[in-house]
Amino acid sequence: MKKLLLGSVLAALMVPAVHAETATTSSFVLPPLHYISFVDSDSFYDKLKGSAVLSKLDKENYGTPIRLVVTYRMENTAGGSAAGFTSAILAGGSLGILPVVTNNDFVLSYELRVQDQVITSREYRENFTEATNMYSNKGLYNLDGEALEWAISTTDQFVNDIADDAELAELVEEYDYYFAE
Amino acid sequence: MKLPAILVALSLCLAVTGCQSTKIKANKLPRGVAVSKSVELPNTTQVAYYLPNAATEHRFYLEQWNIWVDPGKGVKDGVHNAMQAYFPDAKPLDLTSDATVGLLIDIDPKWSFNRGEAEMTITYRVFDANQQEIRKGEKKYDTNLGNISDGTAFYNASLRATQLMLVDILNKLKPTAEKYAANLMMDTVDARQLANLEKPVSSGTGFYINANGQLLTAAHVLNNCLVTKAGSGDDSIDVTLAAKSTLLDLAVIDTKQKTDKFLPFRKDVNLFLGESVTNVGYPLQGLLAASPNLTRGNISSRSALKGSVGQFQFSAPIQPGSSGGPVVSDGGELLGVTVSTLNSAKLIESGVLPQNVNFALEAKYAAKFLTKHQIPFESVEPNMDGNISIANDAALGSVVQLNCYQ
Repeated sequence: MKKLLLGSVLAALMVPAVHAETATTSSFVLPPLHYISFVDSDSFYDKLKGSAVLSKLDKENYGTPIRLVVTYRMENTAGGSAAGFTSAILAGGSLGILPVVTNNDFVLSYELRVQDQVITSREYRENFTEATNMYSNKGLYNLDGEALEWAISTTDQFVNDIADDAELAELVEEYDYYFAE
Repeated sequence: MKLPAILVALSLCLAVTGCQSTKIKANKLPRGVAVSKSVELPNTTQVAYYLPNAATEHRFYLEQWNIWVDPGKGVKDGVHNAMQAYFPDAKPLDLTSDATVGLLIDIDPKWSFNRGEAEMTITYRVFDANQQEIRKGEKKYDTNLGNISDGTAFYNASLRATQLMLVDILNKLKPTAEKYAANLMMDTVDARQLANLEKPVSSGTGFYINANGQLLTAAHVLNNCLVTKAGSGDDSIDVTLAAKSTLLDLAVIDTKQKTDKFLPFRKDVNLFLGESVTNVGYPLQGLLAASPNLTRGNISSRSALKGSVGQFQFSAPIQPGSSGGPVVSDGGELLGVTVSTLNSAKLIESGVLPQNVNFALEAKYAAKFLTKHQIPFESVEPNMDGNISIANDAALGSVVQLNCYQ
């Protein structure tokens, strides 16, 4: 996403952004976790690891039973499809001089898995309008620019959201029962 | 070809693609399909529906494109939204809930793919509050795959097939809350009636740990099973979950059959590096005959992958279906429970060929788990003068095949 333009024509379709908030203090610290993420960004990882609850996050903890898996996807919106259709015709008509404008919901998903079973998950969604040249080969699923900034801004929200998760608190208790030194 | 013709062709292509990229509204039926005017809509009948987890959790990763493809989510959301549009109180079947329903719909979705098209086939059976089958059928819907990563095609095909199913049910049964009173408690539903018992979705191994006929196995063997059976063929019996730890990947199940062939734990488990071990399991069911496979190896390491806890490494070969099997010493004592192996295919791609790198949960954690759940087991002093014969007898006598049905 080299050039993400926040929608003006389709602004009405936008959903509220996830606001960056100061993370609340969790009552527990999760045991060592393996970090797997589509978001290829050190800032994103550092922000998560900087929180108390995820302080034991590690990219190379391959064997730990607990994993944080972060993925994202683009979801078409009804308005975005219509606008994209018109835009694509115009772009084709101009033989690529005009950009193709698309509008999608960017959905970022966090999953906490134990032995590959999802025990809690959160999804955050933001609407983006993007203008790309039809000849450019930017790759379909790269993440940068405003989308990456927004993704980073969701980390505080995620940490807040899991801070009082009862299932995670139970997991920590069980982990300590079996493995605490 | 002239420019206008190119533009027309491009427009048509984009129009087709555009249609497939938008989710269909759940309350909008396909052309030519309608609910009879005599049917109450939205319908107030209390409905529960069952969808196998194998269908709703179907998900895979396309590494080349760095995307997850999630047909399971499409099925789950498509079916749910279609159900909600016509039966606003419809809910997924929860066998632990005492909520009551008047109709139960058993939905069996299947995907088929052909030349960029995804086809959803839904086979369904409808039961009344007495769990009598009152209607069954099959509906199909296919759609262009379009943008595979956003899952719209999976959603649309599932939604449409479900709509067709619901129209059939509504028009034929003409349900009302009075006609199908909510007298069926979900926790009394006979799961065997819903599960496809012709073929297991997965299989694994378990072994007896006490005279009460309780089996220890890996928890993932039982994940999302509607019905679990121990043994194979006509001799198989239904079993029930007694205790489970997802963290340890461990579960205990009741067979309610007394036995004297159970495995004792090694007291104060000490693992000796290089010690000979025997592993028994029922791998590759459907390919291999239903008889136990016995393999021999050694304890290769007291630890497993980086960051792992409670596991050790052993070299006795294992295959899919070996999970939950015992790792037994030559003295006939339980040393661990088979839980996983290295992903050889993945490592081969990166130029590494791993050999016999398998992992088991140490028996001392299994003992701690059993103690926590007050499940009896026996511990014996290590017999360092054992041999392969003792190990074989102990392992082979105690293992059973486990089959999971949905």
